[in-house]
Amino acid sequence: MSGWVAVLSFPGSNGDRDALSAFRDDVGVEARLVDHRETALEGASAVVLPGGFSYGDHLRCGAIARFAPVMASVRSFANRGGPVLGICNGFQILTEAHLLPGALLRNRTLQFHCHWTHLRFEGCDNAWLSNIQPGEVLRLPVAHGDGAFFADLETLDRLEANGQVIARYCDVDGRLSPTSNPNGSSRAIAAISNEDGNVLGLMPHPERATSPLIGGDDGLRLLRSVLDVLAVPV
Amino acid sequence: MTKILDMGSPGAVGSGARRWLADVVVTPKPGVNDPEGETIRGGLRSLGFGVDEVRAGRFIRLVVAASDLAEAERSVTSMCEQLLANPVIQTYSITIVEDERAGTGPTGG
Repeated sequence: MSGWVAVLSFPGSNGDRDALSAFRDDVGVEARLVDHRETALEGASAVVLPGGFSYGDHLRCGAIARFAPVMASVRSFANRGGPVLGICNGFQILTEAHLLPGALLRNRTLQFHCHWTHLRFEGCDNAWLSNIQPGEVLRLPVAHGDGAFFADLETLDRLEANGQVIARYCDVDGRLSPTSNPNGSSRAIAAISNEDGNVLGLMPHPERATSPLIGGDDGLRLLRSVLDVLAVPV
Repeated sequence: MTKILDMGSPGAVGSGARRWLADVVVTPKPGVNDPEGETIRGGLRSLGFGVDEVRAGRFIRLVVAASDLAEAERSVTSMCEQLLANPVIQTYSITIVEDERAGTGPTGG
């Protein structure tokens, strides 16, 4: 196995250490924090944009982080087919950077949602989903104020048709209901992929579900896909 | 990615360019859920006001240097397209007048 996982760190990121620890200690791969001022990602096999409140969420969540020096490198890494994972604020940054379609709006309830959710995985044609089968239900926590996925109807239909809708909020049995969608996301969408299947954005936090000691370890199912990623040079 | 840092600025303030006050209002596009606006509407109704619709947005005032109004409009429109608004979910309107306030500092009087 070669390569390493680059975990980006923006001013205001607070999930960067969680992600670093999850990859290093729980998955067991080399992972390094990469400062937002860096411009090189040489040798990295995967890039993770962590959760948090980059640049204080000013203007819009992720709107300022998009211009961080490291993002030019992330863009070329993604365009080369490199696997990029955006978690929560990382997902918001990827939509603002147009590496993923749509946008994340204020939660329907106007409340910050910090609790466990169930997710039904559907499309699994993505570099980060090599261990997950369509139809599987994972239990992962959310922690966000702006997590309502939005895209216009045409874009939503295209995402569905292309299999880019990766996961939806559901109940424990995998059924969709009004109460299982915590934030008012369009079509209960919690995770989407880009067209090429190398960029994944999701609002829930797999890196905060890596051990029964902290409430669950379903997140490892997703994060361990990086073992397949590291086996393939970018 | 650094394009935003050079969006056709006509030069530094004080180089002879005129100064303009640009008021930008950013609002959710029609059809985009606006829970903040809904909440404000609920509050107004509970006060007895007959308000049918509320859309909550953001107001941003800019002072820009440009040699004429058209150039100022082009510059501020570019700012809205690239950063101030997200065209996926928001629309914007721009009102520009020449900045005739006293003082020459970047924040005016």
